[in-house]
Amino acid sequence: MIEKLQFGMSDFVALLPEIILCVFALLITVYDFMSKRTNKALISYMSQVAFFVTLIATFTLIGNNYTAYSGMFVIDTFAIFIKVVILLVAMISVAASHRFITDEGYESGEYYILIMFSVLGMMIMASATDLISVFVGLELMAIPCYFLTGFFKKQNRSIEGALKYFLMGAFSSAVLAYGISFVYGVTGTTNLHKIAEFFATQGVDINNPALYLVLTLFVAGFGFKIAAVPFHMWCPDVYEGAPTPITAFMSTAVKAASFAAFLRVYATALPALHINWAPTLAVLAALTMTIGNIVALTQSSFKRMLAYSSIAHAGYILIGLVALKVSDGVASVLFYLIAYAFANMGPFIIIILLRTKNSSGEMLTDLHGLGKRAPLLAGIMLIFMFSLTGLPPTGGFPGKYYLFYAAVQSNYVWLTVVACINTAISAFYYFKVGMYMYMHEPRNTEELEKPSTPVLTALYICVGMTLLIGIMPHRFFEAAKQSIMLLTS
Amino acid sequence: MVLEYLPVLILMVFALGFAVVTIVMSDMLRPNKPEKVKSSTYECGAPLFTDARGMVSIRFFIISMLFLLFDIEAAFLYPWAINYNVLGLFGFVEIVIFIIILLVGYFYAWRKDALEWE
Amino acid sequence: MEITLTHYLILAAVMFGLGIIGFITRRNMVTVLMSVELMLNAVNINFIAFARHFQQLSGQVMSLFIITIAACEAAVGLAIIIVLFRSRRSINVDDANILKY
Repeated sequence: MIEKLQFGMSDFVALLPEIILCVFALLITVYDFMSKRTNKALISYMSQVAFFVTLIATFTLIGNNYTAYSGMFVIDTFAIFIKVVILLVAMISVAASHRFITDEGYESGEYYILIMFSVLGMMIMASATDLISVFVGLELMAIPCYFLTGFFKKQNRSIEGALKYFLMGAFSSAVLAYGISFVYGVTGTTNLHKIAEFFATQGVDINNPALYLVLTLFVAGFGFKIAAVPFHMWCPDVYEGAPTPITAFMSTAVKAASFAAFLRVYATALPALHINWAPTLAVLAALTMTIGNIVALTQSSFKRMLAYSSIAHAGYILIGLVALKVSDGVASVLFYLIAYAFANMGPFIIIILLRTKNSSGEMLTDLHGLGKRAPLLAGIMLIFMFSLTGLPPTGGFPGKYYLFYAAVQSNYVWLTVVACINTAISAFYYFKVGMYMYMHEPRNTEELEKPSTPVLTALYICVGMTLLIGIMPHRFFEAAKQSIMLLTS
Repeated sequence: MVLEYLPVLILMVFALGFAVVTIVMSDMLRPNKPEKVKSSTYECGAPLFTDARGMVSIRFFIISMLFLLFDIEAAFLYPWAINYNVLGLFGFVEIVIFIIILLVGYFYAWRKDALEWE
Repeated sequence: MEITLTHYLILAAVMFGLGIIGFITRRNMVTVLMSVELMLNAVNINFIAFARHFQQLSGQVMSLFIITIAACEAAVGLAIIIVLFRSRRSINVDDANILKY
């Protein structure tokens, strides 16, 4: 039986932002290799233009709700919300890379092109309503990231990070694909809505071992991507080895896209099995935040500490997935993702600014006496640390509040208690940063380089958004709430 | 059910038997005068230089990498070619776009001297 | 004896298991890469078997995509092996040990 595929204008409209970004990326690739002496700084600006045009195209699609390409691809407010976050993060990362790549001696256009293709994969993931498109989007996101991690190919730790990321990424993709094959085997379809329909009409056969296998494989596959304990081992090594702007990009954009796909698969296709997977995810969430926070306490490298802190934050976000059934569960995840994205990009940008001739700016000791060396940077850093801890008036506070409230509503009080204890633990190491900055004498008295305009702009956007989300959380939460209306229906 | 596979079994027996019989017969009938060159691994006139398990130049990896990519992407052409009549002009345009994207990659590899041996 | 869906699933499960074992125990980067490919091929067998079972085409389409992705991953893996070899003169996974606690 062959269904004739139908394509119409609406399909192309739904894919318009992706098409624009893809065309831009291809044109920039051609421009890059046409001449051996192209202006690489120009390519950075061209990619910014590409992201900006894509962002506008994404905004023009607001209000559309339909599936395209025979149910493989959907355009709804949830997808648009995630895409906007991803595009903003990408623009900030590219701005933060300004001069960094050149200074390290790796001037090349591929860097920006790879970021663009990775963003393309993330955008597909955000819109995917078929396990095929989820998987293809995931790989399109991940493969450029392997290269970007190993971009500093003369630095051993960069290559090593790429090696570990690649091995773990390939392994987890295979595990996820095996899980998808069993979903197909049980339900006879890979479309998320049809899977949900299958479980709604046929009922859930709790004695079917294949279902448990699917749930286990999915948790393992997605767990690797979002670096949830016990699938987190690669994360600190990769984040430490990768070029700093790429670490910032991966710890926010890749996480946001992975959570988007995770959410859509669980909320759309498997709500009937909620009772089976929610307890597992709850335990995973508790483990993830506890181990992430405790190990972060012992780090001497700031970059590595942030890696563990990002693992802990993945644990907090998992709470929202557990509380999927309460009305604001998913919205709290989206809200936390946006608050976390800006607060987490910031410290990495400051690491970039702290580079001097003799130090990488990545160690905690490099922060000593920053309050005297660069008062403005130290103040901004403090705001980010406040937000990551979850203190008002920054975005982290309402983010945690909504998440914990959703957990209480869905009767996971113990999880909320664990999360609160974890917040207290995390305060130790976030405040340690503040202590180093203000209460220690500077060890390194080198003059900091004057930051370039794009990097400073990126930093100010991050700090501005962190404060803005903290001061008026309702606006953002309403946006997040509206965006999920159609996700679970 | 099993009986359906009987012809396969018979074919296998014949194939195996033919090979075994020819080798054994020729071994018994032919004169046996071994010498050094004759009993070398590849008795074809060219002398051996090294062991076959030696290191391979890393350039082969680059070529194999590129081959792998372009070879596999061609797999997408088969479903299109089979359904050419159904898909019509639309399918043709789509496949041309697909080929153009591949070509960008190909020219990229070319310009970056990935296809040069030295 | 008829070859049923179960036989294919068992074959795929064995292949997938062998892939995992190879991934964990082997130290040569190329062998590790081959183990991952083995796992992805096990997934392909699953898809084809299910597609035949349901008399559908969508499973075959999925396996086509997985074949492509597997090739891309192999290419990335080879590229990383080359870079690693150039810097370290070794493709042993254990030699990648700078990044630690």
